[in-house]
Amino acid sequence: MVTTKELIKENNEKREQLTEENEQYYTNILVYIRSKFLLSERATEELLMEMLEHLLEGQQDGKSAEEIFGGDPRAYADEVIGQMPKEKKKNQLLFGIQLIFSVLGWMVIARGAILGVLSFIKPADEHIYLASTAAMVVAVLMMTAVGVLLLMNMVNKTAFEEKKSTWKFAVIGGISGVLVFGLFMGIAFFFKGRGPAFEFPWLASLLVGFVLLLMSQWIARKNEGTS
Amino acid sequence: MSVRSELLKGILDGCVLAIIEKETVYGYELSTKLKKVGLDDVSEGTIYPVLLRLQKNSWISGEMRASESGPRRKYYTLTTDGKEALELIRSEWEKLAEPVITLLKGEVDHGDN
Repeated sequence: MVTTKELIKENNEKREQLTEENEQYYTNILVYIRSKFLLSERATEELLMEMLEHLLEGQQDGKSAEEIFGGDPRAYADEVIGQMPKEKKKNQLLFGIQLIFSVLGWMVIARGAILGVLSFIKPADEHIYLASTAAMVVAVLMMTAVGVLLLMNMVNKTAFEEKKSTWKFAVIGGISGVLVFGLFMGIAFFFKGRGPAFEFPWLASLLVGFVLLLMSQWIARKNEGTS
Repeated sequence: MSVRSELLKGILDGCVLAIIEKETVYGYELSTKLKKVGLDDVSEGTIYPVLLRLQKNSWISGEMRASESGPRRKYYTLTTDGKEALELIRSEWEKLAEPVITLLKGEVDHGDN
């Protein structure tokens, strides 16, 4: 059986055969449906492939996307979404865990890399302070969750806008970037050296981060197999 | 919405089931067949919400596979539950159709003579 990943790849390739007008219409629907991330990914990609094949076949018979799917793409997409199966709870949970492992992995790798470089310049403090680290981890995970949800929401809201206002994305992205950076600096400053400590050398940090990323990959593959 | 599509709404599921009962079809094929029997003002896209709903009810099952000519298509077959549902729709439709036809033709005396 074809995997979901293969369907996505095939979709990207086949979309290029659409006329400009049809491509615009179809891609708006695709972005809109994909941004509803509680839907079953498998069902979503199967449906998008069906619609794409239908459109391609219709295009050969001289039909436009509007003739096939109607003049109100958002209403049509909402109708379809209303009938789509939701992602299984187990897969949602696995996806969440996968994301957490991946974020933690990159955090630990970044720490290892920064300390590694620093330690060549001057002796660096390679201790982990449990309370400080816990505060930082919680903040990063929460920011990631909020960021992903906000982005999905924005993509969802703007999917059918005639002129995609990229500057709006840029401004909001910039402001949130500054806020997030400020928050992290604040935590790093006010929660400095709190809680029990143990030594965690930079090389070990890199290694642990790498293992976390591998585990995240492993979960992702496991998840793909069951959805 | 036109009167016609409003009327069709309730029975479209049955029409789609009846086509799938005869043979395994994919989306584009299904919409062509609907047109051929005369339901030609159903917008083609309408079938996808219907197909999703029928799958959710386990009345049909869909399998995605590549056809020999290249395109990847999802082929739909009727399940045992779907067969039962179709039979029910058939008998209910018959019970409805006759009185409605008689009524709308105006051939009924209203019992007040």
